[in-house]
Amino acid sequence: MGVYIFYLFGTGLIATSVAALLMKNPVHSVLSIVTSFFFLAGIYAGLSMQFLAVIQILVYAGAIMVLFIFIIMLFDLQKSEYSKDRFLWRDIIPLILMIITASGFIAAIGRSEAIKTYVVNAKLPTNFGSVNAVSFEFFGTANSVGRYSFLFEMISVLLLSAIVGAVVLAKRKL
Amino acid sequence: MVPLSSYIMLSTILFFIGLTGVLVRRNIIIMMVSIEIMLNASNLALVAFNRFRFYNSNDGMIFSFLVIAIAAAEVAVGLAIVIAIYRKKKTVMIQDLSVMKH
Repeated sequence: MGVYIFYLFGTGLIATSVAALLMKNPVHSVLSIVTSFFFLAGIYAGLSMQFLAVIQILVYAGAIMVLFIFIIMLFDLQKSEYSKDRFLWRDIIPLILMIITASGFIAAIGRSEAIKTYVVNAKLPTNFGSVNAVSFEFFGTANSVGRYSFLFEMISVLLLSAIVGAVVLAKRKL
Repeated sequence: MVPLSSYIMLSTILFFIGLTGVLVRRNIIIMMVSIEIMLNASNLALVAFNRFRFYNSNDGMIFSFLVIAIAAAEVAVGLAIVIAIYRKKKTVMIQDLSVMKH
C-alpha cells in the first residue's frame, strides 16, 4: 500500500514540476509548483515526518508561493512579453546535457549497494518527526539548552536582515 | 517497502528539473521558482536519509526547517530585486537585461 502511495505522489511531483517549466504564464507555473509541494508534503508524511509535511503546506505552499503570485500580480505583464520567453534551438544543448547528467546520477544511485540495503525500520522512536522532538532540539527543556538553539536564533537574525534588505531594495527612493 | 534509493532518485530527478528550468527559461520569476524546486529536492534527500539511516535523531528534519527559512529569506530579497529591476526596465526577461555586456 505504501509503495503505491509513494509512486503515485512521486509521479505527481515530477509531472507538476515539469509542467511548471512548460507554462508560458508565470501564474500557471507557480500554481503548478504549489500542487507539486502538496505532493511533496504527502511524501514527507509517508516518511513519518508529520510536522514537516504540515510546515511544507502552511509555510512553503501557503506563504512563500503566494508571495510569488502576489508579486506577479503587481507586474501586469502583457501577452507579448510572455512570447519573448520561447524555446530556442540552442536551448536543446543544456536540456540534453541535463538529461545525460541526471541519468548518470540515477544509474550510479541504482547500482550502489550501500544505499539499496537500507529499508524502513519498523521500530522508530516514539516521538520521531513530531512537534515534541523539534521543540526539544530547538528550545531544550526547562533546565537545558537545545542542541540547535543557537542556530534557531541565527535564523531569526537572518530573517530580520532579509526583511530589512527587501524593504531597502524595493523602496523607490531611499 | 520503498527502498532509500527510490527517494534519492526522486530527489535527483527533481534537482535536475530545477536546474534545467534555471538554464532554459528566460523569465526571472520562473527561474526563481526553479531554485525553489532545487531547494525542495535537497530537503527530500535530507529527510530520506534521516528516516532510513539516522532514525534515532531528528537532524535531517531540523536542517529541512532551516532550508525552508533560508528559502523564505531568499524569496523576499530576490523578489525585491525583481521589483527594482522591473521599475527601471519595465521587463522581467533576462535577454533584455544584459547591461553588463555593453
